[in-house]
Amino acid sequence: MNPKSFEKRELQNVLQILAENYDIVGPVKEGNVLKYKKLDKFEDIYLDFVGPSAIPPKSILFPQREVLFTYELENKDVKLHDLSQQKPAKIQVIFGIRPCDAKSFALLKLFFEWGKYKDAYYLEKFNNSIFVSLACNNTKSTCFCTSVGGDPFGKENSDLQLVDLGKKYVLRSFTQKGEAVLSTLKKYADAPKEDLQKIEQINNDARKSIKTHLELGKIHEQLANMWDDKIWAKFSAACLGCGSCSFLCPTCHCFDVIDDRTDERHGARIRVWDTCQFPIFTKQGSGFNPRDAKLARARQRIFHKFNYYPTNYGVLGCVGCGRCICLCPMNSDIRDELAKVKEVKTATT
Amino acid sequence: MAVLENVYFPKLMKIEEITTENPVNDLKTFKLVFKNQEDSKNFIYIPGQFAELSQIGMGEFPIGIASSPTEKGYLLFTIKKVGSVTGSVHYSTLGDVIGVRGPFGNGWPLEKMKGKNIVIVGGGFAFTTLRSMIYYMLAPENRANFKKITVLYGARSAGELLYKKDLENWEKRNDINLILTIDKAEPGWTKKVGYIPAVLKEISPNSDNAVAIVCGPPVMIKFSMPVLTECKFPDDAIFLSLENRMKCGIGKCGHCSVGRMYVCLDGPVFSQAELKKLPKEY
Repeated sequence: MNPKSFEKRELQNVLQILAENYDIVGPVKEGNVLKYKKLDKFEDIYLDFVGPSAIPPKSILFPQREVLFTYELENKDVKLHDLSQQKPAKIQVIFGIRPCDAKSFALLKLFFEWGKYKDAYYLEKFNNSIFVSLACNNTKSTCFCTSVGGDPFGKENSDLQLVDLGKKYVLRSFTQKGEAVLSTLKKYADAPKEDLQKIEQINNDARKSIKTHLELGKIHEQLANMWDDKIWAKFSAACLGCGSCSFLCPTCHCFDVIDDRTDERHGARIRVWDTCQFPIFTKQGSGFNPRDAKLARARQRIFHKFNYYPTNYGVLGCVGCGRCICLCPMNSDIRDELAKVKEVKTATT
Repeated sequence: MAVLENVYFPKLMKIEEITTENPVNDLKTFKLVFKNQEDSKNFIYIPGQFAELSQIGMGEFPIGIASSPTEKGYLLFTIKKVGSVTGSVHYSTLGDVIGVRGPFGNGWPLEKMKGKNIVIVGGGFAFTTLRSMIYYMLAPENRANFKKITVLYGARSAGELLYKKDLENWEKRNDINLILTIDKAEPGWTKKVGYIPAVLKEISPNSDNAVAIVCGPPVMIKFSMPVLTECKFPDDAIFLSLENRMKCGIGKCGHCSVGRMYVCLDGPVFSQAELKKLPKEY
């Protein structure tokens, strides 16, 4: 189907039409913070932001606190209620995420379904979602998606994409799921050729606006020879271990599992976000901790995203959203770290 | 789309028997039986694998399976009281319900062990999955698959040795050579006295057509490995079981990662050759 274009003031009506068949999750402003929420009133939607939101939309499919099952204890017996198969009444349209965030959902899916065991909680939600990205006309100084295989108008894991042409929006589809959605918007005209040409032009300008150009090349091979390098002590020196970089990273997915009691007889087993940047992440029951040293944790972050991901799954584990750069209270910059890694002379360079 | 199996959801078992293994009462063996026959049939495991046991309302912990798949109708777990969840399990009584997920992990390398002489080195309460391996090998239907079986098992004191009845029975058999040792001499103990690496050196097991399986505290492993190397065991014929912090048991939560591997998924059994390729994060 051809892309549709409509006047900007029509957006609420478009969402209203979609709401007949889908739940809509989109960005709203709460005070100064941009959050992704289920929308009931479409006039609340806020699309005038630059770059990715501070809080990534990953919690839509991978909540910070998620109930795995609930339980009741009765005398000597136990009853458990599995919550993984809960099917929502409607499929949800996740609207207005940046292309880097759309790609991150695909990276999470890759991980959660990799190998022998599948994560039913994430996959059920993913399979019941349609992704509509908001193309980046402008970028932040911390954006570096193009250095890790992305693009301001990237299509990866976008079923549809909304492009801002100033006075109009163009909505274009890339998948069958996207086509099905577009087909409900028949009342809107096909986007004229000038609109499509304008998209190309804005895309090129957006790409040029990205000032970071990292030549990562075969960084995973480079890293393979740098396990004992002095560089990790240098990178970790300023680190506070606050965990912001991983909690707010759209591709980070580690979690802890605990039993949360409501009262003596009722409760739930929940999972909560966890981070390899906390010292006790790897602490064993014996008391021994293989990553006791801060440099080991700093190394783990880079290795996981730029060595283990390529080695295990053939892709980089970073989408270049730049949140870790914006949010680090000590101004650590992953781009500097990657550039310094590339500079080190090893057996392969 | 087909319903996805939920690997985080425990099956329920009942405690049928509790055996105290040591005088200080912090090691107990629990005999668990599935509430549901169907679950029992579906729990197919090999020695060396582990399960995630739940005290519903308190939490979950990973534990090696001490029983062998040749023992039908129940599972055995030897649990040490170390914290709130294992402590809570220790206060459980017969008939109480325990959750189980599994079996997880790769288990001992049965294919590589077929037709070989087997040397087992075990220390302390890490002996649990070794009990599973020994029972499995000694089962009449399996014994012919393995050649000479030598087991060196040591503990700090006689009271800390697990499975005392099993040890008695194995000592009487002539198809397994069991050598027991304790760290310091004590009244009533007439067998060997000495740390495991020293006794291992004394025994000097023959590495011809042999596989070594080592399971014990880090210090025991650290000093036993050179002895095995001296006895000319190649790195790909020595197997260890790692015990990193595990949570989900299925390679998703991230806690047990060692380099690019997950101990719960790619292990917990690794050959010494494989371990040498991994960073020392265990």
